[in-house]
Formats: sequence, C-alpha cells, structure tokens
Amino acid sequence: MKSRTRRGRNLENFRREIYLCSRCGYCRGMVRARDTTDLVCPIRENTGGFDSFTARGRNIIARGILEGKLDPKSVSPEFVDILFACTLCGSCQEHCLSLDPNTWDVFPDNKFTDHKVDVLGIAESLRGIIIEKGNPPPAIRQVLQNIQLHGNAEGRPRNKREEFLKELDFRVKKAGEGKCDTLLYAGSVASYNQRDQKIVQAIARVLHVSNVHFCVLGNEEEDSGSDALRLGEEGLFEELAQRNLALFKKYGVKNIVCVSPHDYDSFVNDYPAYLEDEWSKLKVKLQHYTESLAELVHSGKLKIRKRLGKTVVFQDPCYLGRINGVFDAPREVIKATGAEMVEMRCSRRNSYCCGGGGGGVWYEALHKPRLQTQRAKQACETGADILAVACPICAQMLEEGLTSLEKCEMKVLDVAEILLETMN
Amino acid sequence: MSKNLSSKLREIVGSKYVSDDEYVRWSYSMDSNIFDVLDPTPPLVVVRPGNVEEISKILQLANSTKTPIYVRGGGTDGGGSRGTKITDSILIDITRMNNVVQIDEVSQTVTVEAGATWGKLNKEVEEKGWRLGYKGPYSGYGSTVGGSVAVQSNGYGSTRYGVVAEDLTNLKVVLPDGEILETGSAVNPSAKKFYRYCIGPDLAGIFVGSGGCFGLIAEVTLRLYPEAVGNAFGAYGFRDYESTQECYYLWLKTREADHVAWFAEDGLKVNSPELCDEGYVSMLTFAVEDQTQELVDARAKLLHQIAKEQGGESLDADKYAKGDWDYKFELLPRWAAKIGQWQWNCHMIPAGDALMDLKAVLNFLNQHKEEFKKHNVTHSTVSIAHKNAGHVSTSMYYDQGNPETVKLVKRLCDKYAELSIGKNGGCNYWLGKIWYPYTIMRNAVYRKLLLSVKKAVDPNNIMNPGGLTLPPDFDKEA
Repeated sequence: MKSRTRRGRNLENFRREIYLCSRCGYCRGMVRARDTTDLVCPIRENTGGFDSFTARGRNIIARGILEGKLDPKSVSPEFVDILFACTLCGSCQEHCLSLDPNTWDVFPDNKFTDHKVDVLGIAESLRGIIIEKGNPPPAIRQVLQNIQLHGNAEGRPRNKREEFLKELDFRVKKAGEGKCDTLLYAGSVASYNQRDQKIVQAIARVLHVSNVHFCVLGNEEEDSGSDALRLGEEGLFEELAQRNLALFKKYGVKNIVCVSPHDYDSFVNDYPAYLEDEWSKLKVKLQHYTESLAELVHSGKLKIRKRLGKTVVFQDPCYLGRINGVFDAPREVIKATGAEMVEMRCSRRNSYCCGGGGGGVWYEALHKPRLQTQRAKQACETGADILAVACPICAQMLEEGLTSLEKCEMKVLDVAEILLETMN
Repeated sequence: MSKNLSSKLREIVGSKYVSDDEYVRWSYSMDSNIFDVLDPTPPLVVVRPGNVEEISKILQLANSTKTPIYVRGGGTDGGGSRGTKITDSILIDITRMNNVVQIDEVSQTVTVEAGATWGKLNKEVEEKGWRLGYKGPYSGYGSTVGGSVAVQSNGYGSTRYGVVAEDLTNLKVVLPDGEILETGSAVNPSAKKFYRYCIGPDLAGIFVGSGGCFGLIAEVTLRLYPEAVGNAFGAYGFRDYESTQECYYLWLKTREADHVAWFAEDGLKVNSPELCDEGYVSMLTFAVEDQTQELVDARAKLLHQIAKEQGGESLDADKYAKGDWDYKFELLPRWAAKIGQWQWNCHMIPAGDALMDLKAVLNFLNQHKEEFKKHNVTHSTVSIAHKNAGHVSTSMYYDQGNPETVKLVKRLCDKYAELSIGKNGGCNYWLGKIWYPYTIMRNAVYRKLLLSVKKAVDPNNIMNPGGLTLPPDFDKEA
C-alpha cells in the first residue's frame, strides 16, 4: 500500500515501515550538489534540533514503544511539545530514499508517494497516543474540542460559517436550492478567519465572473476532519468524514472545489482510505481551486482584462505541492496574469513550510521555530512585489511572517486575489 | 546527578540545546549498526554545542565530574564504535557545528567544522571551483566529516585518494581537559593550515580512527583539488574470476581510476541479475574525473585497454557505473528499503590478494546459504578499491524487526570477521566491535601503547570509555 492512503493511526500498523528505516539520517538534513536541497527539516533547523524532532528520531522512539522499552503512559511534556512542533510538511518523507523499488526507474524524480516510509502517518500515530492518554498541549486540546463542539478549530459559532458570503455583490446558491453539481468547499479556516474570508470571496468572484455554476454548503458545511487526523484524533476524523459523506450524497455533489489544500488532501487521500467503497461510489471529482482556475484560463472562459505588471513569487503549499503533486496549476494562473514569476531557492518539492501545517497555526512550540518569518525572509530575498499563496493557512502565517521583517515591501496575495485584480 | 549536570550544561550552551528527557535521549540510542539494533543505549543527557569554546567547557565539566562523553555526528556508524558507558554519558551531538570555516585557495585546503556533512562540504567546495579527492562515505548526505575522521571511513574517491585521513592536513581537537590542540602546520601559530607532516610527530594520527577515545575532533582541514570538468565511466563483464582479478589488480596499479568496484556473483545477483543470466561471474566498473577532458580521456583509455586485454566484455557504462557516481550517497538507503537493513563487513586486503579473500568469502557464504534462505537474508559482495588495497565487503541485508534474524546476522558477521580478518589477513579501515577480537586484541604491544596514550591524554577516562577495546575502568584492566 502506498503511503498517505491507509486507514488506522496505530503504531502497530506502521511496524514494517518503522523497521524499514535504515537510520541514514537524510531526513535530518541533506545538502545536495545536484539540486537545491540544502535542508530537509525546517523544525530541526529552528529549534534545539535534537534527533527526536526528526523522522529518524521518531522512528527510533516508535521502535522503543513497540518493543516495550519506552512506556507511552509516561510521555514527557518535552516530547509532547516536540511531537506537536512538527508541521507535518512532508519534506523528510520527500527526501527519504526508502523508495518503492517499482519506481526506481524514475529516480530522482519520484512522487511523494513513491517514498515508502509514511512519516506523516507515524507522526500522527504517535500524536494519537498522546491524545488517547489525554495529555496534549492545551492549545491542541482546545482545537480538538472546538472541532468536536463547533465544527471548526477556532470555536466560532456554526451559524456564522457562511458570513463570508455577505460581502459578495452577487448571490451564491446554497446546496438544496436546486442542483449542486459543483460545490465550493470553503473549509473551516477560510470560512471564519477574516483574512482568509477575502480569499474565498475572491475565488467565488472569479468563478462567478467566469460563469461557473457552483454552490456552497453555507452553515451546513462540516469540517473536513483533516486537522483532527493530523493532530492524532482519528475517531473525530472518522465521525466528520461520515457526516461529509452524507452531505455530499444528500446534495448529489459531483465536483468539489477546495479552498484549502489540507481539506483537498484529506478528500483525496484520507477519505478513500477510511470510507472505502462508500466514497468511491460517489465518483466525485476533486480539485483544488487553483486547478479549477487553471482550467478556466486554458479554456478561455476566464478573461484577463489587464496585465499585472508585477513580480510574483509563489509559496508551494506542502499539502498541495509536495504531498499531492500540484505544482503547475497555480503557476499557470499567475503567469496568465502577465506577472513576472520568480522562484525561491526552496520551491516545488523542496518547498519550505510556512509553519502552519500539522497544527502549527494554532500551536507555537516551546522553542518558537517561527518558520513563517524564515520563509517570509526567503521570499523577500527574491525581490518580488507579491508573495502568492494558495492556502488560507499560508496566507495567515506568511502575512504574520512579513510583519516581523523591517525592510520588506512585499505583500501576500492569494492566487485568486491576484487573478481578480486583472479581471476587474 | 543528571539534573545537576543538565543545569550546568544549560549554563554553557543555553537551555534550548540540552535535554535529559527520556524520549529525546532514546532518539539517540541507536546508530546504524547491528550492535545498536540488538542493544539500543540512550545517553544520560544530550547536548548540542555551537562552538569550540562551548565544547571545551563541556569537557572541563565532564572531567571534573568524571562523566563519560560520547560524541555523535551523523549517527551512521556502521561498525559499532560506541563504548560501554553510554547510559552514563553526556552525548555531544556535534551537528550544530556544520560550517565550512574557510576555503583557503592559497593553501589549497578547506577547513570545516566537524558536524558538517559530506554533502554540504562537497557542494560548497564545488561552488568555489574546487573538488574533494575523498568525497565521503556511502552515507555522505547524513554522515559528518568529523565522524568520518574519528572512525576512518572510506568511500567515493578512495580508489585514487585513499581513506579520509590521506587528504587530511590539520585537525583542531578539544582534549579531555578542555584544552584546544592544533595539529600539523597549525602547531605554528603563525602558519596557515596547509600540511600534516611537519614540525614534529604527527599528532593528528592519535585522533584519526580513534573512535573519539582521545579527544573531540572539532575542525578538520582537507586538501583540495581543481574542479573536475569531465568524467568517464567503464563497465566490464567477466566470465571467470582470475581474469577479473588480473584486471582489478592492473587497474589499481595504474592509480588512474577515481573509483573502482568489483561486483562478485552475489553482488551481481542483487544489483544486476540480468548479467548473471548472461553468464558473467563478475563485473568491474570504474569512474574517472579530472580537470581537463584530455586527462580524463587518456586515463580512461588506459583503463579500457587493460580491461579488454584481460578479457573483459564491455557493458553499458551509463547503466552500471555512471549512476553510482552521479547519485553518490543515494544508493544504500534505496537498497535497504528493498531488501532490508544492511550490515557491512568491510575490510581491506592487498590488491593482489583480493581474489584469494573473495573466494574464501564466497565459500563461507555458500556454506551458510540455508540459513540465509531460511531467514530471508540477502548478501551482496562488492569490492570497492582504494589505492593499493582491495576491499572486499559483503553486505548482509536483513529484517530488523525479526529478533531471530538479527541474532543470526550478528553471529554470521562475527564468523565472517574471523575468516576475513583473522585468517585471510584483511584489515578493517573503519572502527567497530566486529573486528577488534582479530586485530587490536591480538597485538599486546599495540594495545598496551594505546592504553598508555589513553591514560596520558585522558587520565579520567571520560572519552568514549570502553571504545577501541580499551578498559571502561582503568583499575579493572587485568
């Protein structure tokens, strides 16, 4: 079974892979002359950097637990912090050379899923132990409670979920008001966060102007469960997945356009693994919104009315690019605006996490890794005018990162926001 | 005790870089060898110093409290060089010190902090228009320069440039009492770091291959070579071992190849089974790189000519030789994922004795073939040459998750060492418990002098006690 497509966050399920680790340490850091790889684990680089922060160290710890040499009941607060400091960006898995032998012919251009050790799954299983024992960091406990009680990590009221629609100067159809073939799935982050609401509004406007018929679930929308699973609360994820399945069935959804790469990843990878046939029977087409916009650009349905005379650098979201292989669609949309594109040294498969994944947007580890500042600095060094994002969490984190830099005029805009500027 | 120690260490390096947490310590319980698979040992406390001064203070603290020190670089030690007091030790994770200190074009040397990986060092010198002779061991993206010097590794470039120490010009070492020693030309405070054998006795030799028993290697200076502008590769199949040996011997004699590998039958079965089907018993490959294409062509021409004269049949060099060179440091983890964790049995042997050793090794493997089969252990014998020495290495690939298999491989590795080192006259270049019973423990004079040096340099026996077969407690030495 390929990584990222399995059910059951239990260390025992990963036993084979844990023992597959040869402890080469390439997941800790790798500087490679033949490409731009010059670090692997941003968390290791920006904390105390102990091996326990890295995939190799976690594997050794997982072995200790499986062999009964470490007692999972006595996990220390220090290790809990280390476990939740990881942003699950997947860079360690990307650079792990434990490759599926059937894919050796394409080396070194293997896909993320060709790397055999499911590092993220192992980390999520270890987090699951912490959750089960009831001692996660308070901020994480709160996030999980909020998702359980209110359907979103911030704990905002369910009946405010669709408020972002009010700012729009056209009416968006809600599921149930007729046919809902194409669902714009806003997700919990973009629905509530003020900065991110502008992103989902921009996407809706672009779709509307391009005459795409779409609907939203509004206050009925459920959290995808992605964050619950990443944080180690598998049961909550399963519950949410069932609720979403029921909703999508109820409204006969055929296409889902996701705002968040994290929701997109969960629908693409976690839902088929956990819901199996029930999910595959839906035959739903899944897209991240940048893929939808790229299609509209290619088909000519989306008209660019003025050229964007600016330089743009793009932040690959970990769960869109590295983990799901969508690198080109957002770049194609940006290029279609006439913008000049530049790249950061760490981009595409080597992209550097904004710091918000894996719970990082809600939990600041004790060593304060501040990846958002590091990444904003890297973006600034390109001299671009705009730092383009395609993920609500990236938008939040990198805007915050930029505020810590003194001499940087760059601003953060979502791909849809950039596009909208050229359509007005 | 550990809390008090930890708090003093925090005063030295800052609290961020010290941990005595059980789980953090456990993540340092294993390096990449079978001894640690059998018996993982966490240290008492982990510390990550950022400079030589901090190291000095840590060693002073350890000396005053008689606390063992174990230094860890990439954690890729494949031979088992850990001593016997790890659980009481301060483990110094040296990888925070990973800067290339200076590329000195006047001296044609590079000085690098001990915790830099070979991947980083290669990249930085190449960006400045130079190259390394010895480029690092097979684990070079994870293993560190200081670790390689301490365990005396070989690898890419060894055929022409020898083991790591042969390009070494200077070391900066923190002695167990915290004093900082410079070796080679740097003994003269006015001199640059440019040569090893000058001024007086070569004290760097005490620390090369020492397993960290005499001091902590903090900085390493290596010789540089001009940027390689071209390369060439060759791969030849042989239908009998005698012709292979003759070609191998003559290739080594020329000293013109940067890399020579001999894949014996079992190595072919793992790496290129299609060649076995075609009736070959061996394959030899070479890689050549140099500062002009003319030099590359001339050297490669000589090697091609020798191979053909010895009956070698030309194979697809891009497929069998170039990939290993182009993607250096990237092959072993892939094999581990396919057929299991590797345990090496590396040793060097005179160039002309390689076939004798190889035949004995193959016979040994054949004698145990039922056990290998029963426990699904794969073996692959590949000889990587260095200078005038052949190097026969049978890797055993095994399932780490099966305790019975682990025990079997450990037992067979012991027997293998008895044969190749104890009987055939091979010598381990890097360090490890597998080999000591047949080398250091068989030479009382050598070991006595080692012990005398240890007692003189490290009277409190804090540096990796029990390493190199030296006693973990001086008063208990018989």
